[in-house]
Amino acid sequence: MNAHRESSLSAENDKSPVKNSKIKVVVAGQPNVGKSSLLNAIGDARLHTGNFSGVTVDTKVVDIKKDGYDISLVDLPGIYSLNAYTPEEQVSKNYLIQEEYDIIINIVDANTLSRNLIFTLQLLDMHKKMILVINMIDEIEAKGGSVDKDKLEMLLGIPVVLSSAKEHKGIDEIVDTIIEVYKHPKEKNKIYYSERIELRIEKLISILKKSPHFKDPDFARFVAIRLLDRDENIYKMIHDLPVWIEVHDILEKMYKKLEAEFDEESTTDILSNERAALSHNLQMEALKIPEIQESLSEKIDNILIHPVLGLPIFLFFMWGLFQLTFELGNIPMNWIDWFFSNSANYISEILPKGEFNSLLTEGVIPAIGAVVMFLPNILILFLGINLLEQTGYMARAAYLMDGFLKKFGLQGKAFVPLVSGFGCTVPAYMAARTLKNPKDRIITMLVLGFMSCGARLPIYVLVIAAFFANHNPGNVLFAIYIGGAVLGLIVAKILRVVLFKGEPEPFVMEIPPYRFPSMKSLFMDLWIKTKMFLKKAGTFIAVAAMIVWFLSTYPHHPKTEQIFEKKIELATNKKSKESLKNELNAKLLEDSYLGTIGKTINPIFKPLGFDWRMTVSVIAGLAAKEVVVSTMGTLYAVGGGLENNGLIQKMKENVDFKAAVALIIIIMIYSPCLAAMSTFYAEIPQWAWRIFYTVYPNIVAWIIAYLAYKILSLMGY
Amino acid sequence: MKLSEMEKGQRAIIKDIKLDGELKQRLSSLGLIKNELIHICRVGFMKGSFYIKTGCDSCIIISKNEADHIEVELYGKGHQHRWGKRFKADSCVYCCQEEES
Repeated sequence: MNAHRESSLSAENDKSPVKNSKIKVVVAGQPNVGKSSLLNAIGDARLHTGNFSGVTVDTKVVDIKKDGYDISLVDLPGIYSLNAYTPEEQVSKNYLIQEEYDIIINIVDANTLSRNLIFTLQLLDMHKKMILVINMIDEIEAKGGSVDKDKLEMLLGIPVVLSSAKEHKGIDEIVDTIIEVYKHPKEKNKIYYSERIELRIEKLISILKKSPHFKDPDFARFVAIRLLDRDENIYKMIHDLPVWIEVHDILEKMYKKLEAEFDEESTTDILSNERAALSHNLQMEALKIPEIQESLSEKIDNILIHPVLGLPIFLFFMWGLFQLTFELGNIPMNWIDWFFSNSANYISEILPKGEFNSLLTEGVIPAIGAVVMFLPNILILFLGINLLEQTGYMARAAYLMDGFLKKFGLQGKAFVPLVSGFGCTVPAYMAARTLKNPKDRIITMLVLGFMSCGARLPIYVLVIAAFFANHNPGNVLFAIYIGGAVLGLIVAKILRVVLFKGEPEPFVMEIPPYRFPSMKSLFMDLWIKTKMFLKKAGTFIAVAAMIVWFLSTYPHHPKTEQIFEKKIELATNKKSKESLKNELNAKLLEDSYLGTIGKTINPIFKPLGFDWRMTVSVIAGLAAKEVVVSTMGTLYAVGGGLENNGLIQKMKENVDFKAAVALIIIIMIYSPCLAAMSTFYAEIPQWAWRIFYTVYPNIVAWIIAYLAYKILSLMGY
Repeated sequence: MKLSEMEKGQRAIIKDIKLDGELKQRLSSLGLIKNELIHICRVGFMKGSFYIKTGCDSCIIISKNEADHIEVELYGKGHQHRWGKRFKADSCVYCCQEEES
């Protein structure tokens, strides 16, 4: 097989360049080559990045303007080859083959050039306008190596740009090259396979050309190659065309002949070998790099993925992360709590007494404060998960966990969505697309809810601060998260044995080199999380707080108020007056709409020791987990207000230890938020699984919480 | 011999991949193809998984189940046989004898 450049133009390319100023560019490449990072650099975008395969699982678009051109860059999920294996690769393949666009930017990793070029060669078969971007060139240069860009351009017949997203190298050149390539007609770049294959391709083209669908010779050639590659999508595409009958007969004969001639089991293997040979040669021609005995990554791996020490080291890292989340997060937590409590008191004093005052100081501010005070804890947890993703340790942890997860009917790759679930369940569900086997995917998604997301953290921190302040709170937090994960694994095992019999899918995964995380990207991610969190607090949670305030303030009971007011007037000392005021507030709250609703539902949660306020908070948490704390903030503040550390203190006063443990268990297991649930429904189309997913966590949560409550009762708590 | 029988530090040439078509394709796109030189960087706990570096500098993890279906031939000077003896020859005479027997 050889590649050469032809200067002659195809019939299509004789046309003048189109004057349209909109350019649609598809960014494709193997996983973890830095596509999203490059797009962030090109378009000042904020796409999520990480150092492992499968970070991007859906298409994302970044728009830029340059020299009067509107350029849309479509970031596709990483795809190893056009023989797509996983669902997210299928998304990319479908886009590349079925959608309309002007240019393909193929991003490759300079560190694994020859492997990446195998996919480049498949893309070249498509005969689209194309640019090859060799990313992470800084890493090659740091090793004392270089890439001969001119030679690659000559061999492949397409423009080549050397870039580094991290060091912002070659970014402007990429945009300039897009415009240049767009303005000029496509040069014919033709990859030739070995003679025996080319003969068959030509034969297939001659048959395909009989159909009006394959008048374009470049497209006919692409289809012929894909047919020899046994591409099922292409089979399906031409299956209903009349030409299929003739193609099918000859194709079967070709397969048999080629397999016999090359002594291979499949023509797919033959084409793979040809591409691999060419890509090796291309690398040898273009890449110069001194041989390194043992890379830094290998030295670090000697410790971090040691067969015996690897797992304890990983657990130690996770333990450290939860210690930091609690201990470090607690410092600003107290300041934020103080700020909101004092703000509510101050506003209450300066605003005239009345409904609006009450709405702000007993409804909205305590609710937002109750949520925002946990922002530092959440950010520390996110930072830890981001570091795990960006350094390349995530893939190694998946490797360490593979054997362990297999015992529970999961495979190592499931570890990535499971850990992402500690951040947010929504992207974690989407990350499960990297699992090819539908059974593995459903099991992973069904147990993902057991991995407590960041939004549940405030509830844990609140309960721990109220009931476990003297029992090494960081350890308790770690135990909650590990407990949830272990429970998830047990459920996975049960699901595997009862509903999803069979072995998990094979575990094959790429291991990236360790990379120092980009500080800009880390802080950008944290900033985005902070903005999203504050936006949610200022909108969704504020509205939820208003609803909770309204339902807990109305209807008014003037008679009750009059009776108590008389009693308060008659009271002789300040203490009695305070006590009567609190009694009135409690009575009004209980007789409110929310009190009535809460008391109606409460029998379900009463066996767990919940009062109606906890019941309402837990139910409200089905909308979003942050609402649990904000609802508590409002319910415990209505009529009374919260002092410094007020919510924690109110929890201590109103909730007993057993009920607090049951609350943790319920929060840990019951259904995730609406956003997560709708993502699950979108990802899993089968109604049976949707119903199962909606019901079973709540039943499991209630049973385990009840058992814990009873056991603690027997133990005398 | 099978890939799953290899030890840390050994190098080998892949002779055959007896896995189903799709998985074979996945391995191929990761750089694990017939006649490719591989290096075992690391072996997991209880030989449950294998950390392999391919000729195209791709680092891949493969579990024992799959490694059982990949035939390899040990290669290279100084490879260490599994009972710990280091050889200076181009290939390990003991492994070859084992293959034949």
